[in-house]
Amino acid sequence: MATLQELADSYTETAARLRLAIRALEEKKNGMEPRQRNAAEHDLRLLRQMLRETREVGEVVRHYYDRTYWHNRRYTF
Amino acid sequence: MTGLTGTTGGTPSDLAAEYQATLERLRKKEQMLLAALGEKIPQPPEAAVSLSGDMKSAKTGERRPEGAEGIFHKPPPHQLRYELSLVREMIRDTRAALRQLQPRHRPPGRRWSSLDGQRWQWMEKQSWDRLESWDRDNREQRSWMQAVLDDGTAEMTSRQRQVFTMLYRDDKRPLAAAEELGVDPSTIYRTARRAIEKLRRYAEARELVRTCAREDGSIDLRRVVAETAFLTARQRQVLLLTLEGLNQTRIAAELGVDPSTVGRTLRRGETRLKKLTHYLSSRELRELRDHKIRREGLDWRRSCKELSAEYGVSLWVIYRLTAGTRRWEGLTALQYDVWTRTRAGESPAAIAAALGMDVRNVYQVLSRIRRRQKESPMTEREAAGPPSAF
Repeated sequence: MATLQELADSYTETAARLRLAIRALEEKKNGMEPRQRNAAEHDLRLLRQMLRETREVGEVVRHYYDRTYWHNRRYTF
Repeated sequence: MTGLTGTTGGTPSDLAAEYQATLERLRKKEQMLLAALGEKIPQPPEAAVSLSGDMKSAKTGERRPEGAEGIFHKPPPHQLRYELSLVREMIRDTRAALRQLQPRHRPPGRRWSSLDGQRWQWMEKQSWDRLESWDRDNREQRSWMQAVLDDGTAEMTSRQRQVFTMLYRDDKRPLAAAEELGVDPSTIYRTARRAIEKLRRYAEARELVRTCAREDGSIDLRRVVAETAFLTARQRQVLLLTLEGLNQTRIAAELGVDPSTVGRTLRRGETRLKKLTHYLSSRELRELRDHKIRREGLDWRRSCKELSAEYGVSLWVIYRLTAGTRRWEGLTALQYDVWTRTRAGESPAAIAAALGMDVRNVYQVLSRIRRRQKESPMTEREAAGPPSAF
């Protein structure tokens, strides 16, 4: 069982890796054929979504016990 | 990484300073990494070690052997790129955390709220049914409050009413009101407090009377007297004893006061009580009673005459309320009764007196009966009379 701190770290690392993957794919996309390009764009959309969500969850986990973050409505029920 | 999260229990300024320090550290590292990536210059060993150690790259599988710290080591470019990405990610997180510490910038005016003071966020969470019923309940409540305000201000003294109007209808500041009336501000506050206190007592009493009304229109006076704050303690005592059935002499003996005192207290208490009970208007009372009569009129075992005797209302009212739409062979209960009485030789005036109605209405009923008889003459069976419940 990971602590929230460890979880937050792992989320940051995942986000960093996703960033790299996105950048690599963006560079590779330019030299592709239209069909592959569409597929790559689709992948990129997914990756960006993953990155966004990873960042959000990481933020929540990291600041779970921070007073200033209590007012974040997105992950508060 | 630990520097990034900061301590959980710290004042915002502490946290902000901490985040700033972290941010500077991270920016330096970013510069170093950029330099290492772009110009391929060999890094000093301690920088490389602290960098890798801080990034926890060991956790991701690139753990260096224990003895390697002292040796000059340049990480491969893919690892540098990964670390740069990580640092940038951390910078982004830290900046977000810093931003979160900033005070929220809101326009100074009031934010949107509904008429009932509900925020939009609150309303969004409610179901439609609930919002609708909320609206309906509230409308009733508001009309009730309006009535209380209209009648309750009549209870105040003229000065109280004046101050109340200035403060709460015209929205004047107490100081401005004091200036206008030429009195001390404390007088305004005191008068307003008393006015509101009166209004509150009045509203409570009015609500109490409503809850104490029985279905048949009578009021549970004992409860009203016992619970209302509209009477003084002494008035309550005397009124309750009166309701027990004691006369003034006995009450005076019981309380150890003069009978005239009892009489006076009683009179004053009754005046207040009358004010209270008249809040339940006669229309409301009638409605309460009529619903009861109507419900009981549907019970075929209760005849109209019984009902009229029980409720002390005229037969005509009972006929109208219970059997107004019911027909027996085309005749309403009232028409049948009038017709029977006419056949028995009673005059319209006598019928009107017996049924408690106006003579003109008797003539009207008779003309309707005649018209109906012209259309279709009554059979023997009809003349024998309707079922007993009529």
